[in-house]
Amino acid sequence: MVQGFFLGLSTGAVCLAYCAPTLVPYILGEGKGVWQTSIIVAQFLGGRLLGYLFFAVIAWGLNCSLVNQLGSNEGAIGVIYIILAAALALYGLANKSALCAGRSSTWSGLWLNGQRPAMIPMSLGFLTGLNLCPPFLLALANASEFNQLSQSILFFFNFFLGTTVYFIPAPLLGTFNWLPAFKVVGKLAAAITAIYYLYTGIVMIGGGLLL
Amino acid sequence: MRRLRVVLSYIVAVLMIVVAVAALAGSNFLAAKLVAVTGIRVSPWYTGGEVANIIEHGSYQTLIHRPVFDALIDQATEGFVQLDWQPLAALPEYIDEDIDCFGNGNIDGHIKLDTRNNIAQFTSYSSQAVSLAGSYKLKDRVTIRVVLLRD
Amino acid sequence: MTNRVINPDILRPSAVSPLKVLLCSLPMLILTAFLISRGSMPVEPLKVVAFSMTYILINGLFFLMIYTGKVYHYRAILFITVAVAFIIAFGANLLEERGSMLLRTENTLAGDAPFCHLVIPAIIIPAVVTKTIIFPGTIIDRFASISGMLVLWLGASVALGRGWCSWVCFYGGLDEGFSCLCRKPVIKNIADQWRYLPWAVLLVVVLVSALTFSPAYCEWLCPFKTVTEFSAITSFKILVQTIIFLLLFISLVVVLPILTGRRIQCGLFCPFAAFQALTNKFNIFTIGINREKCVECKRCVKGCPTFSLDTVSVKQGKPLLSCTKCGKCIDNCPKQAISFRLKGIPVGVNTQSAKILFLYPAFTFAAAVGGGFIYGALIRVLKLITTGSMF
Repeated sequence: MVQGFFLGLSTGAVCLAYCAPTLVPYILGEGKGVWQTSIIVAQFLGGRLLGYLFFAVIAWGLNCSLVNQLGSNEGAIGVIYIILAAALALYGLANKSALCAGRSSTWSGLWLNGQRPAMIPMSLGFLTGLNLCPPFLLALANASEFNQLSQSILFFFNFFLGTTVYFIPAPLLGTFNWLPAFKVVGKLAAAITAIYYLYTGIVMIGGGLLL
Repeated sequence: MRRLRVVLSYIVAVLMIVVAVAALAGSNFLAAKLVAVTGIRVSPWYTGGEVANIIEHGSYQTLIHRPVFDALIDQATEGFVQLDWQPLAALPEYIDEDIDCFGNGNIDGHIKLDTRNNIAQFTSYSSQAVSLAGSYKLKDRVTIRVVLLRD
Repeated sequence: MTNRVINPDILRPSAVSPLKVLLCSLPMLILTAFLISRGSMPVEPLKVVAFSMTYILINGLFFLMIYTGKVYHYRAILFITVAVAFIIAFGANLLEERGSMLLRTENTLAGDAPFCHLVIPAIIIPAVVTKTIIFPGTIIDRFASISGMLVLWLGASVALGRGWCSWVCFYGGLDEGFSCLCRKPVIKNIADQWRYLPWAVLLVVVLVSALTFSPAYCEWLCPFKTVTEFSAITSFKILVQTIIFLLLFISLVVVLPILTGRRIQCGLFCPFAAFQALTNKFNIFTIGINREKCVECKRCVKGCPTFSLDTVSVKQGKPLLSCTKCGKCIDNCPKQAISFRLKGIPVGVNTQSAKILFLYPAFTFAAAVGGGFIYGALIRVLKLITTGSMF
């Protein structure tokens, strides 16, 4: 099981690179301090963990080779990219008055009241978790050795922990909150990133037809 | 103190003229220094990477570059290997060669190349050598790239 | 077509005595002779004519700048001329060397793509981490080599800060030219938040370039691909990229500058511009607004081509970080409250000296870079006239 952690540790920088175009604009767009940004990052990572565990279950239930086929199925990844693009666009353009996900003190209250600010970073984390980046596919190949669900879940959980080490400095982006302009920059950047993922998604779905 | 700041400001401003002239007149010298100091080079995704093996065929030679999977962090899952045949003037009409993409002694594929019209055909012998990315005729050589997958 | 009347103020001499103007212009006469000819004077008659025309134009503009005290007007003439000359000279070179303006994979493999400053923000992270430049050019000893352009950019950044964008950039003259076509802007109010768009584009370009290990701005967003080299359309991806380049060029460089009278590409989109603005932090030259003279007429705010002044910054007596030192606010101010300034020297003190000290490095870069393109373009045009062929 420790193998999962070390695999995550050795490939986590790539995970960070894959998540950065989504995470960095979001953090800047929120414009919060280091502490509240830490909560946002934790929520993002929580979403990512859910994405990983989702695959752990599928890997166990459906047989890993099928999931690997899904990984190489550009159409499925394309759909995920388009949903991610929609989430980013929604955040960048239509979320001007949304509540900050980093309001830790009232988070549970907000959730109970039907306001779910944490849904945004969690959704973004979940969708980037489903993106099947190269390290993730590597983890998937390793997970094929396990027969039990608990083993598969534990492996992916450890893999997640290993990759998470690289996200530790992410809350430091909160130090840029002294300049309100960064909030506008972050939201505009999220909208532009949405266009990038939308295009990537469309091309992936189009696959051989388009290229 | 205020007077010192004023004097310094004027000195720096005059130095900017020197910087401008130096950057323009000494650009060749400074460019060479910049390359020597930083060691920068063009990404292997464009150059094809360093040549790993040269096969002599008498009048011409095959240059096999190292496999390129370079990425910002770690390595990409998909890359390529570049092969050059040179000099252009001495190439036969047809090239028919087995290729070892990874330099490990295993034959990964076979290439048939018509050097007159630059049409290439690649047959893969391994799961890592996927397909032909393209064949290109340059001023001094013919080049092909084969898409590779990292194991 | 609007009949444009030359403002008589433009040709009116400033307070500087003619002798001083001549003395100020003399070093520039020597410098430009050396920089435009690159150390070897032309001997062919056609080249001699092209060189003389370039030399007279450039030094004439510098003389007028000093003589009249109006910087923006003569800088804009040079800047626009350089952009047009660049397209002619660059395009003709490509046609001569490659037979077309297309960038094919063969050119990429041979490192044939001339390096352009707009890609600099995208290459920095990969260059620092891997010591490789993610651009299909040549490192050294070639026209527009990567290291040569980096040296030019470093020098200009130290000397001018974001002054690069109004004095050295060979693309900026295009949207400046189109922005000058309309005297009365149709679109007057542009929301403040759009000023942050270049920073957002910069952030995305830097992150995506690092992730994909390729120059994202060049591949996807550069409007100037439309008038320089562009990829041969061999796939759906390149077709989409080409459509994006065209749409961005038409909207950001042509239509919106005409409608707003501002440099929209430079002020509201270009990620290099945002990146270059950071160099203003350490550059010695800036613009100062004398609060005692300012009557808050906002002519400077409304006229700034790159949105580098707002009411808050005017109240603070300085422009925003994005100031390109084009001089328009200085020329536009009816009370002469705005002037070039050296950091460390109070506003309004020794403004003439500050102006000359800025103009020298700024014009040296403009003359050397722009002069080369004007000279090259004139040779092509004269060849076309005299022989019927540019080559």
